[in-house]
Amino acid sequence: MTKKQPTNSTLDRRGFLGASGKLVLSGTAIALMGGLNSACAGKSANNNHIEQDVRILNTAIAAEHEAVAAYQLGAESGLLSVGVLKVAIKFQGHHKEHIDALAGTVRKLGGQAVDAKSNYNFPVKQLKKESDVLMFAADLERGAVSAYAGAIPVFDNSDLAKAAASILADEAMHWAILRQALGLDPVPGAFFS
Amino acid sequence: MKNHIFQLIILLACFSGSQNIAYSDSDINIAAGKHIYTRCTGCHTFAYHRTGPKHCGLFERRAGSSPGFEFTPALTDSGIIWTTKTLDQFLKAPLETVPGTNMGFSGIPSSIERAQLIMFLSTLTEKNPLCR
Repeated sequence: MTKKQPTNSTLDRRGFLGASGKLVLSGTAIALMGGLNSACAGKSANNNHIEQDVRILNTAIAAEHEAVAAYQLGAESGLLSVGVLKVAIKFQGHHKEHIDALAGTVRKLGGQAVDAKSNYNFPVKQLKKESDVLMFAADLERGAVSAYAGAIPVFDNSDLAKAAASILADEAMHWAILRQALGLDPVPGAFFS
Repeated sequence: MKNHIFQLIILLACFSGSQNIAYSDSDINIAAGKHIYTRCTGCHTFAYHRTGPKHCGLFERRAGSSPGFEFTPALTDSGIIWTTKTLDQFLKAPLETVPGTNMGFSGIPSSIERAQLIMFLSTLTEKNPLCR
């Protein structure tokens, strides 16, 4: 499902696999898929609503694939210190877990999960130092929080909204930690807008 | 004074529960729109396609026609031309305006925020450095 990532000598291959290669679904993912059994069997779930939920999930999967690719770019940039690289790979692993959970849900709903693109448009020329990579990642994570915040109200299935909220929380933690690493206020306000 | 009037409008909107309040042109500014644009950045950016299509050159473009991006039939068949009016309608409730779009976004209920965002989007022409 997830596109095979190119190898790079700057990565600790064993550590990388250890962090991201586990096919262990979180409690939320399992609960999400479990909850869908009753939702799919329920009389209230009509095809139009399910199709819309699948489209929204696939949009989320596409954005998660982009995040995985972005962290791969950062990891292979040679610009990250050992500690930051470790965190980046951990976050990338989270995004892979999101994809696994979301794609499994799409399949359970009778849809087909979108694949990663063969290439992405990233501002590679602007990434010249570690802080550039961190800012790039922080902007992506911030965007992800916005995307999930905008998607949660439109899910027909409340189990999906709940799972999206769980993923949103994870993205928000990433964003805060990246901001902290950049020397910015990690939590700039009481509300996110 | 202008700020006070603006704050009063916002306050009234909060208490009335209405998101469609009157505003004047002076309440709309590009900087505010650029800030609101951060809500779009999970999927969009200015000069290149991401999960969603790029926004440079959006105005007066036919929906679903930006080269190099795979749009849903719902959008390409919508017949929409992106103008202030159509963007306002779409951004208020994308999934209701164009059922079948992949834009899984609940919309922007505030008419002022929509106007500010649209004002910013209107600046994304080829002359804008953000589009180079």
